[in-house]
Amino acid sequence: MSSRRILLLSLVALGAASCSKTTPPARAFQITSRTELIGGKRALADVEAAPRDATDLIGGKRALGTEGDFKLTNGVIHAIIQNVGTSRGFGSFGGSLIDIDLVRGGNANGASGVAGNDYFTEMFPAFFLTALEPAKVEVLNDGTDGNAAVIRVSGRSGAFISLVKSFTELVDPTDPLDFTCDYILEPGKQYLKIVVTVTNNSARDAMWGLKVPFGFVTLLGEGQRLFVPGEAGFDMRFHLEDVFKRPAALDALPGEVTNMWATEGDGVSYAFVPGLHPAGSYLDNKPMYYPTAKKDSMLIPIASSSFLGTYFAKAPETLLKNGGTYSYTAFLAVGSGDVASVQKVVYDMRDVTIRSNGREFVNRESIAYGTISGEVREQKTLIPLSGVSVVIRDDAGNYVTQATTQKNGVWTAPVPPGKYTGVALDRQRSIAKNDTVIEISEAGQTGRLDFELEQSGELRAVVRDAEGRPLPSKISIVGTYESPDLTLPTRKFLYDLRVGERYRVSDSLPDTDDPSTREYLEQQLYATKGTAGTTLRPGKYVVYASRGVEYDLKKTEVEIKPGQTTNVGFTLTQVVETKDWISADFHVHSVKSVDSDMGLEKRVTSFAVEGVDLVTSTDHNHVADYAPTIQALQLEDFLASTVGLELTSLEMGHFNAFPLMLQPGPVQHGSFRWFFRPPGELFAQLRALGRDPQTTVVQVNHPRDTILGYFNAFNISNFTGDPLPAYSAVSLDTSPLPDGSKSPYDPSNFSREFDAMEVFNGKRFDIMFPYRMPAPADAPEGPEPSIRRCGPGEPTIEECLPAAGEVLNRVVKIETPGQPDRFELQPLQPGSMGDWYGMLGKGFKITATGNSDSHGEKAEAGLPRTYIHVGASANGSMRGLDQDAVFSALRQGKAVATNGPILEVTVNGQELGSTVVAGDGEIDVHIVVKAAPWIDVKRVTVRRGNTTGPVREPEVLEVIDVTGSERPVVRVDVNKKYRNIPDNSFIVVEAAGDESMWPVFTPYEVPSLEISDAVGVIGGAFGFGPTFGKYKPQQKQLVRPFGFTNPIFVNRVARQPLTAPKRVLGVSNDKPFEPRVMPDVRKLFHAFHSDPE
Amino acid sequence: MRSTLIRNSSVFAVLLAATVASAHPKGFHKKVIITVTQTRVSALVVMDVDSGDRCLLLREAVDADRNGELAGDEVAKLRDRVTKMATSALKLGLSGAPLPLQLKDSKLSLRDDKRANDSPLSVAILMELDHPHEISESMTLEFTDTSPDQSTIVLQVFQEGMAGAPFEAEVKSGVKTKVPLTFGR
Repeated sequence: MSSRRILLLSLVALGAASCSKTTPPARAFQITSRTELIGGKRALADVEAAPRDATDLIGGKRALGTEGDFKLTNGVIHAIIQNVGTSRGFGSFGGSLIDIDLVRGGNANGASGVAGNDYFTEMFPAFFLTALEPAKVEVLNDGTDGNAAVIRVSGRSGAFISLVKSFTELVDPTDPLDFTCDYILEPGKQYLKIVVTVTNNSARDAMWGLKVPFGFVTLLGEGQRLFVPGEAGFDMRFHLEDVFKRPAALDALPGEVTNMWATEGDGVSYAFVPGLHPAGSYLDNKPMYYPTAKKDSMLIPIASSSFLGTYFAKAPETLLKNGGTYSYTAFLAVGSGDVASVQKVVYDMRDVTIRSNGREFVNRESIAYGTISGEVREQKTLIPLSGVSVVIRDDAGNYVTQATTQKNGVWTAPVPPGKYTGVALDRQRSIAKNDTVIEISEAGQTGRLDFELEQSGELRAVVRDAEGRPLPSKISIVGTYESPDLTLPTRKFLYDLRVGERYRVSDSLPDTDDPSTREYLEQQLYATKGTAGTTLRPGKYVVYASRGVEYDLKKTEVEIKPGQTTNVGFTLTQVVETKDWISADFHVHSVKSVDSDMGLEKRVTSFAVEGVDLVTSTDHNHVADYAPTIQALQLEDFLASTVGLELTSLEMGHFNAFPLMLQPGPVQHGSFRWFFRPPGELFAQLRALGRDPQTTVVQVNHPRDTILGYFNAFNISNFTGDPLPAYSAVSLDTSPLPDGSKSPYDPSNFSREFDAMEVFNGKRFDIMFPYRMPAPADAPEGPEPSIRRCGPGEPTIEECLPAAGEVLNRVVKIETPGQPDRFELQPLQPGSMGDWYGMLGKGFKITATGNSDSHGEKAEAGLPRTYIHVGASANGSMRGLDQDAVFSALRQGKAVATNGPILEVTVNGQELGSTVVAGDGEIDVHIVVKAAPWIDVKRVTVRRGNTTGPVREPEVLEVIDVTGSERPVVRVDVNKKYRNIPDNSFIVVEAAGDESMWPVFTPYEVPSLEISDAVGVIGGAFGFGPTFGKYKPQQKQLVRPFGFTNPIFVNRVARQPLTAPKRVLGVSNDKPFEPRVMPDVRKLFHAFHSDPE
Repeated sequence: MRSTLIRNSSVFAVLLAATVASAHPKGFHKKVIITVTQTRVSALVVMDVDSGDRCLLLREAVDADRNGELAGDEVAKLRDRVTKMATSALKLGLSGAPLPLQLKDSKLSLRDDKRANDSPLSVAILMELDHPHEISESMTLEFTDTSPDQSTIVLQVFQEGMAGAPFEAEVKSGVKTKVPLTFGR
């Protein structure tokens, strides 16, 4: 449905709501059946006559509701509140707002699915760093009395993230408090009112240890672009970085101060505003920290697609007496796709509460506004342009609103009185400015601002193989920029994120006068069946055609002229033969993950054009199947798929499992509750989802990626592979349970019952290798830390800064009776490669993999990938691929992880994953390294490690330099003999190059802000600053060629390996727990997580 | 100051108590946790039903529309049936006088699988009685229950003020168990 039609429908609905005496009532009810239509329960006869697939649920890319959840609707908007249980979004608990959309026309049916366009992932109240853990969700008022429909979620506060226990312990009251969250929908309104109330039902008064804020956490998901009025506009990513440099204090957390956040999306948009409170807000009376704060301001300390924190209410300053309550209010409005449409709802909003003394209190006052509108046309042709974004700024430079043009090129936006200018932009053209100042001096006044956008050109590309057949391939269109100052980052002049302009990745090389150091990617196309086309900004470009690492790279220069089409053709050849091998990506996300907006068609196409043979769907807490999409696109000859899952915990790690059975009934198709469960149980439960539990592969993903890494979460030594004592203030809560038994996060619960480890994740070399001290010239900006330089005779128990190139270590003190100075050095940023060696050193034959973890186009599919020695079924069409053979080979370690160099290695004639018996300690290693000519390979390293003890870094047996300016496909083909190889050894071979793989593989240029950034910022406000100051891992980096093999094991004597069946647990097979203190059986009962009815 | 998480931990930890020892034969796993104060007796009955024919029969029996999926009223009906199955034989007494515990609420877990198949299920039942007279030390709590498959039942009795481990036993179906009440004195 077009956004205009949606707007019209909304306006009609609004009009009906406001003008007619027959405003439809609001309704609240529990969704009990799929055979009910949107908009309310129908008569039984209608229900029976309804199409089978019609539903009371809300449709859309982010729809999570199911039977048993609770729904609010008033004919204008509708929303679903999840029943109790575990969050289906990204949080920990149920009871959250998970779906909200405009009520749309059109019936659902089996072909089109559920009508609707929900693009909202989750929202829940947050009391500083704890959330409402619901015990009950109920209909408080069903709306049949003509009043507002109300759904209440009630329960107690629960830690949705235990890492911050140190902080919450300082803050939270001693006794548990009762919380309710009322979702209120009034007839005819286009917004939800949300009232959160905390009640002290304990015998004692309650007190917060610090002045902390209350508010909401929202998980918008990808696809809704956040707009924050003020300095940030659409660029909260970099704006927050600047904000974090401002002063902060214990009672004044860092963050952006604004009065609203809104979104722009495809056909639906949202806006959130706080309600006022008689006692004021958290931001009041702190002019030093929040100089721009007003009475309706709120604080945004973190904003990413998966975590948007919004705080404004203050915890009661005085004691909350027994029986006392405290409430705060917020409003969530729904628009038709642009910021302007939802801002209008907010401006019209007025909400009043009658207080106990009979007086009115205005929770939300309406805002006077006028209207600016205009037209956007194309230069020369004067054709009206639809879907163009218009962004309005005030005379102080603040971004005020954004509107999207309709089919006739017309846009309109409400603005408070003021003076305004604007810009217009779309994906294929340069920004058009109109500096005419429009003044709105009073409410109801109108102004007009028109724009003309440049005429774009068109590019058509055709790619064929050597036999002339169409070939799935990738087209990269590269431009060269002129920099006003060679030191400026490209975001300062190449594009403007604040107005919502598209980010364009650059080569990330230091800019010089040489144009080849100033390249950027204008667009990237997928030629699914060998053809692709796009409109482009006029200009000169270099167009590249590629098909992954086995094919050559072709390029041609073009000039795109306004109104003209330029055609280019390429022939690509597979230059690297990989007979009997396939390439696979075992970590991939699509729109089925809340933090990805990549539709399934684009998702599978992205793999076909990169020459990946097998893709595994591993969406966050959602089992998906990409096979029907591959079939629909007729790509089965090029690409096979298997079903998998990334079980995604908030703070204990991310775990993949494949191949799995997809369960068609549950909304998450088989994903299960992970919260507060020991990892070994999760692994065993993941196996239970498998096609064959005993052969299901469980893979630990990115083990060193901040709080998302399993090895980080359990403080695993990068040296021994064993858990260390917590050495950071931000650490999992390992406190024993009340009966004295172990926490699920107890170090002893660290489980090695996994089969594979994602050692090589995307472009993240920073989490594969330990952080090393940079040379002074390369050191980052910032103050020097106060710790000393390392001297001779290190290590010591005092932390110090080593020489350039050395690993920067922190000291982990290990409390041992009689050994007061016992400690272990751990890299400031440990690397997953070291962890893998550690696992091998403990005798665990874990297969290392390389996967893209791609969430979108910026993270190239199959970068890196895992090559697997499968046998004959790997050759020819992927229709004939023997997937059982793939996973068998993967478990056996017949695999290479690489982003370019392809290695074939044998020891004494035996392949990867084998165990060689060399009684005399002498081995013959045959090494072949192949690479396409566009891939640099400089050196090949042969390493030997032990399987019987700690491995800090395996011994380097030899480094083979790859010299010469020529780049033949076979870079290395050598036989090497090594003697005196000890018993219980393993051999691993690496290949590496130095040159960037631009533009086929783009640099990691803009890391996203993560939850850990928020935790770090808040930690900083509490005085937990970084010990090593400016020295910290840099995520921003080039993509350089790197690949490595799995090991070949070498023993002096033959041994029969012991094998044991893998542990498999159904969801019911939890470890029994015996309480030792008198429990509150009501609490136990409420904690029993039943399925919604 | 106890952390929020510790409070939270206790909830989840006891959640795990909803299941019983793995040595128990496949079938019904019943556990009864009783807390006794001087004015109130409360009980939490948790019964797990292992996957298999029993679950298939239970689930299929309530699938009124025979569409293979359990929804709404069907789930409620299943909850009521399993609740009745778990509580009908439960008898509590206080030194010979019956203690008519009242059913307060019950919850059913289908383990996220709402199909009319043989997947396992669990029920939790909250029962309470505010005793009209003070329960004093030297009285005896009497417990008799029968598991649907006559298997043993895990019984735990906690008394207010009592230090140390609670009374804990795996009792036989149909056999009366007596627990002396001391309230720690």
